[in-house]
Amino acid sequence: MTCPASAEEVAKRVTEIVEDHAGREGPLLLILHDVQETYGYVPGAAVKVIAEKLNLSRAEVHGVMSFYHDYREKPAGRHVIRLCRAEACQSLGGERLADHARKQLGLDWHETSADGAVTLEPVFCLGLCASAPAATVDGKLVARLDEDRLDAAIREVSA
Amino acid sequence: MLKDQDRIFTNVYGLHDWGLKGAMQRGQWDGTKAILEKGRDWIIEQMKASGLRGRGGAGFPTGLKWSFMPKEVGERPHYLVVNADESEPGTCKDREILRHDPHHLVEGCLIAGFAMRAHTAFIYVRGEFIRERERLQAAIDQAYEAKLIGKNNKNGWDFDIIVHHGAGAYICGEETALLESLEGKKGQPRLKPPFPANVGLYGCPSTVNNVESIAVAPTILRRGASWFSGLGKPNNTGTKLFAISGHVERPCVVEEEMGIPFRELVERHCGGIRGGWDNLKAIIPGGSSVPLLPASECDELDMDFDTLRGKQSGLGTAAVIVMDKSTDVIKAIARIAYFYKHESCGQCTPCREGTGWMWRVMERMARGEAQKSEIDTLFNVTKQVEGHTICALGDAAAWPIQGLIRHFRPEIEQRIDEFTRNAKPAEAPLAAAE
Amino acid sequence: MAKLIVDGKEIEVPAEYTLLQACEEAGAEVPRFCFHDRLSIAGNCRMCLVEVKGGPPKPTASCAMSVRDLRPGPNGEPPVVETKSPMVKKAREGVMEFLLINHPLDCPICDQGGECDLQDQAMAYGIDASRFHENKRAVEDKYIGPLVKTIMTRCIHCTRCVRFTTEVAGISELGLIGRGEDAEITTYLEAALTSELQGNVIDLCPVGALTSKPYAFKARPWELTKTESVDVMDAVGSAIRVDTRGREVMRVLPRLNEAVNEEWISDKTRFIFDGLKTQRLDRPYVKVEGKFKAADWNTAFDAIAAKLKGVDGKRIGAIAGDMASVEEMFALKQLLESLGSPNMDCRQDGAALSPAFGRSSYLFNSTIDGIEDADAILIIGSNPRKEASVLNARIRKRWRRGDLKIGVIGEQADLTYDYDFLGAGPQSLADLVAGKLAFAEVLKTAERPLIIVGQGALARKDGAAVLSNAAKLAKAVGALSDDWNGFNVLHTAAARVGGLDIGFVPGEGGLGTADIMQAAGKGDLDVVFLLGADEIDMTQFGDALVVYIGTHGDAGAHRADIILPGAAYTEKSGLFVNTEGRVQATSRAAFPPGDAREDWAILRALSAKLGKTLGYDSLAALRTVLFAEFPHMAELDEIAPGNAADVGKITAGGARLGSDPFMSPVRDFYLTNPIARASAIMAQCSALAAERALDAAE
Repeated sequence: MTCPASAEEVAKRVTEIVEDHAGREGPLLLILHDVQETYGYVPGAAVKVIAEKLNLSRAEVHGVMSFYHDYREKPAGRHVIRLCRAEACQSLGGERLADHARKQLGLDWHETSADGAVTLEPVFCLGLCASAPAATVDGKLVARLDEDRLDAAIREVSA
Repeated sequence: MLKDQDRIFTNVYGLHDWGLKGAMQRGQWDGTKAILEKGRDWIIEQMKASGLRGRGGAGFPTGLKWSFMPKEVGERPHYLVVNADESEPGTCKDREILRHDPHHLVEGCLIAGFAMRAHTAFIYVRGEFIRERERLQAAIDQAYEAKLIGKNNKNGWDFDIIVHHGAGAYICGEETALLESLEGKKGQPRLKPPFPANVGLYGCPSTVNNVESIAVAPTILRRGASWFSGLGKPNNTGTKLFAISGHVERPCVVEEEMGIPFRELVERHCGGIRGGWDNLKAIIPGGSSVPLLPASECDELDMDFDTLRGKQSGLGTAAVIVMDKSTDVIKAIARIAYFYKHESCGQCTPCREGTGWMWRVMERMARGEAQKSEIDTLFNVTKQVEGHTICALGDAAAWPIQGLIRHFRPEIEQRIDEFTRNAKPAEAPLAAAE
Repeated sequence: MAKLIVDGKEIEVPAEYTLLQACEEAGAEVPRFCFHDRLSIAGNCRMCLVEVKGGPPKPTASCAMSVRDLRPGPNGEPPVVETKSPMVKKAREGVMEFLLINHPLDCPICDQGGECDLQDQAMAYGIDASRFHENKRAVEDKYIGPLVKTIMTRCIHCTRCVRFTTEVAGISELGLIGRGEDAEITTYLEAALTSELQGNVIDLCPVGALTSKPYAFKARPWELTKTESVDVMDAVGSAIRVDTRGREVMRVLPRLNEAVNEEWISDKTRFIFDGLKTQRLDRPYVKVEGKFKAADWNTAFDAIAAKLKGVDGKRIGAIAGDMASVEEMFALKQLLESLGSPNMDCRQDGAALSPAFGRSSYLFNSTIDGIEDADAILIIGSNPRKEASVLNARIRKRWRRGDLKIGVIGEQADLTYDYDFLGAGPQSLADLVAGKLAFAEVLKTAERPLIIVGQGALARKDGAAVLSNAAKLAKAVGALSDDWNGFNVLHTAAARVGGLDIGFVPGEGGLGTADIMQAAGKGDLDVVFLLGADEIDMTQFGDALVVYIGTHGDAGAHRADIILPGAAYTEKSGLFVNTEGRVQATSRAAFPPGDAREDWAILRALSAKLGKTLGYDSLAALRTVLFAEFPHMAELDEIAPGNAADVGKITAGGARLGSDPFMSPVRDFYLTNPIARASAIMAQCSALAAERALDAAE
């Protein structure tokens, strides 16, 4: 998911991304989405380019990035597990499952395993309240989780 | 119980084709042009007469909202903005529309856009809804291809729909924060006035509607306002998507008549409360932000705006979180308090400071590590937040705690007593130092 | 106009007023933190809540609601607003409590103490005990440069600093990151702010989150003596307040003057005060065998008298520096005239301006306030951001309102607003005059075109030609009508307009700055007086005896043969005429150090030694004479407007335009005068700016 690119490469690619959105008014979020899609996170070099191209200050771009929790400043692991921590999931064992995940992976929230394989993140409500507890694994939804199903998912990504 | 022929969302479970062909078979995109030809005034009158109240939570009459848009297009274009940033814990109704019946929404956008003289609609989809976004985009593409929307389309009103998505900020579901976010800024709610109908997206007249409000419009206009207003109860008309989660046998999303009694709702559609009706402890009737109601209030409880308001709660998004007797209700509300603290945008003082304060006290109360006098203090703090903020997030953070204190005070006190009883005397500081 | 009832009192206010303004109009006090009348409305502190009757049953933020948005009663009664009702009281107490729960209790070590909005309002609206038993939030401090100190734990997130820097100062380095209770004000890269107006965030910050770094832990506001005065760092003449403790200037703050600086001052104005303490000339010196020897006044005067004895007046000259007051120039002029010398000049830089053509040929005629009425602006040979930062903020303010085209001939610098670059030098001006550039049409179609000519365009060989071309242009585009004089000279020296006003320029057959230096170099002059003149090439004076009257051991003092220690602008009462022609007076806030005396008094004493006693022995008596000759000097804070027709007189002057590009005379904003060059803080700022320029060049 991540590829450590040089500042020049980032600048070139990000410039292309910015130009893709040239027609839109206020395209910052879309650009950040695309950059994160490309690199798995938003590199500092990209922030500089985006700020210049959109005539914003880096403080502004950074302010927006830090406001929305989806944007990462640092690369995530190769696989990302996002576990729902909201009420409906909790009512069906979400809390127990969260503890289990943290124990199994040996990670706390927002941490990435030492080998860079897995990142564990909390998420508030995936809108799967009716089939709680829910999670996403690399963007794919997994619902009606229990310990076994979660272990299976973890095994898959840790492999 | 709602009769099958009165259902608007006939593919809410995705059993049929979500696409254009299936949608048309189910009666969508039927006579859209004729509806537009009846004119804007007719459409808005019908919407008003149907009694439809906004499905995003506040329950503001939709037709009235549409009528606030300027009657002439001035220098600045008009925009329709659809709020598909469904992020309230417990709420999962719009996603079913997005992924299983998206053409309701696409057609609704065209009609609503026409009614408010907008040639463009932005649909702001929640960032976490990845598949939903793809499905919605596919439906829009189909509509473009079939020339139902777009330039010089069959329906005679040039119309574009642009799908935008968020990036993990609950507050963007607030209409003005959503506009800010669409403009590529931080999702910080705006001061009102000016209202979006005058100064909205990119400074242009805009109307922000919930997905469900827009999606039901075509069917209302096809079947007539009186059909819709004949369902439900006065001032709480029509059908509504209910999302029931938590301790019921079969959590589900279901379209029902407004005002359906809660007991009927869970017993008919959800297989009843886990462990039987008597095992019910409390419900949060409208998404995490409304005050909870204890089981004692639920026996005779009509699920509509006015009834729930009368019980000092609210219908909100009609997302019912059911909690049975196994629930630690204090912990549950502490959890909700954390959510609002986490999602506060930090712009205005009462919310920025108050949500953190309330959460911290709630966490202690969940452990019982508090003084009983703090219960009143906490209630007082919620009142200091409520109604003093720029947007409604402050209220949303305050209400669940108010509900808890209102109905479960003895349980909080009992928890405090237990903690005090079991508390170990603090070790002498010197002993600890050794 | 709209009627409303505030606390039972019916008032009528313009409909566009905010509720807050309306309440104040009615005499009700409304507390606020985020609201500031020169910044955009944020509405985020929620302190200014008031109750609007008949509205929703919750209080309304009065700063964000306009009177126009209020609905009248059912029978057309005026809307009712309460600022003292129980609902309002409760709301304010609540907001105050929220602000305080995470605010540290470090008032005893906080520099804002005693002038803190939060402290004051907590006294008025706070409750006495805390109900908050959790841990308080701690926020890491940020580095934002050598001028502004941050203690971010104290921040109440009012965002005034962010709004000021982005809106008024025109830099967007400060921002709010994160969200919720973790939101913080920061610069993205923890770098120093680049604005020349950044110090104003210290005044704007309602708490002690942003305080003055140089002033940190130096004094408490209640132990300071406050003296209202006027700044002399540039020719804007910003209103300032000089705070002293004993003999020492502790800090400089802005004062409100809507016509000039509104309530902003530049960083040089604010932070120069440490320069008043170092490198000071505190006693007379006489150079003996190439070495300065401390002397008493009489010895110094005797040395001058000895040298002047029998010398023809034509062999004496005088140059006045950039911070000389009108009185001392007047006294020096009278002394020189009594000695028979016509050789004097107040234009160190040799700018092609002369009182001979009337006042409007060298004033900023449109006035600073008038910038806001302009609908097209042309800047010739000036970088107003460096030369007059506060005036530049006024241009930016006008530009932000929209519908303003700005053109620049000269350096292509970041002026904090967009402009059309029309060219680098005089040729572009000639093209514009000839109507060859599109911008000529912009000026012509404008109703109130404003043309600014800077010293970078005038202090050069072809200065007179540039001036006449600018005047020609002004005439051609209709900038010289009866009700709008759009011809403006932007000065950089506080002394300059005063000097021109009183004719501190060569008399009949007299020599100007360059000629004085040349003549001295050739041995044609025996004695040259430098009245605080330091910005000229000191190697040119040959063997002439140089008498330096001034405050700092800068270039002039180094060259001098005799040093007479004078008083700095904070140490004397003196008249200064700003670039608009506005006469203003400084006040004495402290005494000059050691034996130093006020400059006019030095000249008066010297005149007696020379047997040419000036006819006044008090400042008041001097002013009486001055006012008799120049009546407009008596009208403090007023502008005696020039005659627009006078600008027409200079259209003919000057020879051919040259080809060198215009360069702003201010190469280093932080080091333009001897006080600034003695200031360690200014040196630090200058080094940082140089570093940034180097980085940018890479």
